[in-house]
Amino acid sequence: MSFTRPFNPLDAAAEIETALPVVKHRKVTARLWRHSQARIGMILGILLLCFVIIGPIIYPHDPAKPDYGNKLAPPGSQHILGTDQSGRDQLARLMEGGMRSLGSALLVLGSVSSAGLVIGLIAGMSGGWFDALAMRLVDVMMALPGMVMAIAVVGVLGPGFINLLVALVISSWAYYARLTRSYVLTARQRQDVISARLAGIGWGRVIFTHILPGVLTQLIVIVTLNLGSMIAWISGLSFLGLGVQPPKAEWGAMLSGSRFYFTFAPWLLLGPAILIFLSVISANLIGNALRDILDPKANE
Amino acid sequence: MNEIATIQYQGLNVTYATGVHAVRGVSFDVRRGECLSLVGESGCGKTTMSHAALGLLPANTRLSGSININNIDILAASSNELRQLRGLVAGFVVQDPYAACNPLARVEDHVAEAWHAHGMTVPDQAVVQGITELGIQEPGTMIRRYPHQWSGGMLQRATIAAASAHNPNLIIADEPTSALDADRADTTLEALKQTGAALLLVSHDLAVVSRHADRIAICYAGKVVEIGDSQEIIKERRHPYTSGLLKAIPSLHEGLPEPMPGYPPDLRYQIAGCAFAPRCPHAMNICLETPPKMANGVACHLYVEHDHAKEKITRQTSTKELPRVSDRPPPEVKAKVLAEAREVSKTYRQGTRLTHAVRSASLQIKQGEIVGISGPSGCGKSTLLRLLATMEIPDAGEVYLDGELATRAGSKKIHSNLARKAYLMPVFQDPISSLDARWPIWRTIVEPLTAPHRKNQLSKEQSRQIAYDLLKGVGLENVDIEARPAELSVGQCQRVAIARVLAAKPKIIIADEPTSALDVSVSASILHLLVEFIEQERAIVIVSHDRPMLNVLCDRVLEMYDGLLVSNS
Repeated sequence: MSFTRPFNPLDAAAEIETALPVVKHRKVTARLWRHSQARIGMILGILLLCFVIIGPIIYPHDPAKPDYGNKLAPPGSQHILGTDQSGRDQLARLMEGGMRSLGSALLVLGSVSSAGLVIGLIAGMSGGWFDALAMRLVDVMMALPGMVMAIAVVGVLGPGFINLLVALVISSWAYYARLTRSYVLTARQRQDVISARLAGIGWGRVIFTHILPGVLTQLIVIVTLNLGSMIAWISGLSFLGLGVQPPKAEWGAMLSGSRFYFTFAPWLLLGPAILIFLSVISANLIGNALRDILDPKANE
Repeated sequence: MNEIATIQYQGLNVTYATGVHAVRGVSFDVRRGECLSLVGESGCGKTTMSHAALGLLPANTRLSGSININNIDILAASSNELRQLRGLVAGFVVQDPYAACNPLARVEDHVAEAWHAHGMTVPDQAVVQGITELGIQEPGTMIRRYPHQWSGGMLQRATIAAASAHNPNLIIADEPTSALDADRADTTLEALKQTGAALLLVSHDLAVVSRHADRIAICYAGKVVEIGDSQEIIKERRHPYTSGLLKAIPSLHEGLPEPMPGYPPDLRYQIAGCAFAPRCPHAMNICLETPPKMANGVACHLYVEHDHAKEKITRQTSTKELPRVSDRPPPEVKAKVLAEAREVSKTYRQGTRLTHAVRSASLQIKQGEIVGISGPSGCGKSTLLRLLATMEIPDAGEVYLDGELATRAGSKKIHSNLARKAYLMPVFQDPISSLDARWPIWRTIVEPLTAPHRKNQLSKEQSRQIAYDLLKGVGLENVDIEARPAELSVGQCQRVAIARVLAAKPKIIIADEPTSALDVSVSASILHLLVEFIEQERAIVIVSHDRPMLNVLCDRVLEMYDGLLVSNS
């Protein structure tokens, strides 16, 4: 590639002075859209959201109504994706279950990351006994495998969807607290922070203007990358029977329920499996792109 | 030149995949046993030239011309031929010896690798011998140690021993001294010359290089603009760029270094005439039209007889008078003391190891003074500044700001809040990380004005106007005030950082190595900005390892060594 541009001798000096790159500052969403991977992820995500939010409104079947005379019906004109082992409409159940799977994954990640953020921020800024205590607790939590921990907590609380979410929050906040704290520890030594402090800006404002924006962008990236695995976790625990109880639908529970009929009704397994797969892909594509875009050192 | 050239460049052109035409038709040679140094500022193509000689450029780089080492054309050589060449015929020494060494391997392993890489067994005692020749004491025990247990200067000598293990004809050294303290640079370059090989030395430091190189090639915008005997180059200053470069170096120039106007050209574009013409004080019409040819060691139209177009371009130059150190009134004897450290000490504890960063140092900063503190890295200079800014509390002694007690050993409280009211403002070594990477620069600049104790109510428009005016004051009127630090050059970021300091109007600027990350011509302009700041009631404390710079800039220079502050004016 070679660039040529008209050369005007008289303006040469002035031209050199102004030959600095002019960069347009686009919003993050616009830059995300220009990122081809992210665009695929976003289209996929929007389609999935439409499926679980608008779908139940326009699709006439009741996901919880059994029809024992019409069990395990293959896909056809009356039931587009057929019916399950109790004669319930599979498509309607996928829509309702998707709402529960995706919504709860977002809910868990939201509460986990805000809890981790608050604990990590206080620990990193205060130091002292709170820091020591919080970090030893984090060590303990991180030493235990998350899945085992979640199963144990559900075991104590009893099976149920709400209990499952509580268990997931308890078993995964530690990672976010540790991440936030380590970021805060480096950020408070940063030269722009020292300059602001010497100029007379208080810690409170320094945290909100210099430190938090950096932590948040890191957390957003981690949360999107973890969204996929969180969907898989919730589905997995529901598959084990620790989450959603029938007749409520959830993708993981649907997989679990349909596995006995795999040989003669494989569509029951394929539906939730493909949807889980697509959600994980979509979240990972967006997360990867966010990591590239939110890096402040990278020029567009 | 009837001697055989060890390495010969002929019309070398290098274009990177990004479209940057980094080297533009370079021809020179290095003769047997000679030391040639490529000198220039960042982005001038000197490193690209040296890496091309060993086939170290990325695979998708376009090269033309030729480089001959021992009659092998490097650009046409296969990777097998290149491997035979590297180490055996041409050695390579990199900038940072610690980065060049695996921290988990002993130093002897690194030197021995020179043989292992070519499938040879190490001759008996060869490693110890190589190291001894380069003047390392107790080589037998030293080589058993790990890289972090060696000092930087010593470790660089070990990498030189590895590079010269097979007595190569040529050693290429890419900035071998810039990661080291100034006093280590001379011994390192001596060690390089001692190997007896022809030496291609890449450096940005004309002052150091001029003491050691036989010949110097000055590079600008991908070309060699002047080449010749190093003493002659320093003395004659024929090319205007050479002369500008020398004026910007404190140790080679009388008085305060003079900055060079403008910026180097963008190497993605074609350049019609002489690349330096837009910045050149002697530019003529022909300079903008035809590229000058190398003749008698200098590529400049000034030294060629032309029939036409010799008239000089008149252009608007900035009429702003540069301040001179000698013009500045000497600080009054009875001037008020702005800040004082009395017998302060600071010790850091790491496990059981104690580091006495500052030992009982006393320092007074008076109005109107520029105080320099010099010393090698790790001598406690930066800690002393942090103590003065009450960012840390001393283990012994007191710090006074404006006559009031600010911090005292044993008391966790900060007694005077002055240092949290922009009484002192810092300028740091690395300008890019001293600005918030997420913020547009205008927001960084006006941040001090938004501090609660000022009770300012600035609208966004007012802030942007103030930022624009301040940026103009530091010579950045062409920069977009919405730009983020990553879009600016290092020198521009340092100017933004200074604009922020000027906005805060502090009584004292504490500058920690403010120029050591910058090119010489840029650092000269930064020093001018700092000197302009000085008025009767203000002061600057400047910390640097660059003693000549401090000598021309400061009213008094203090020496710091191993935590001890020694006064000598």
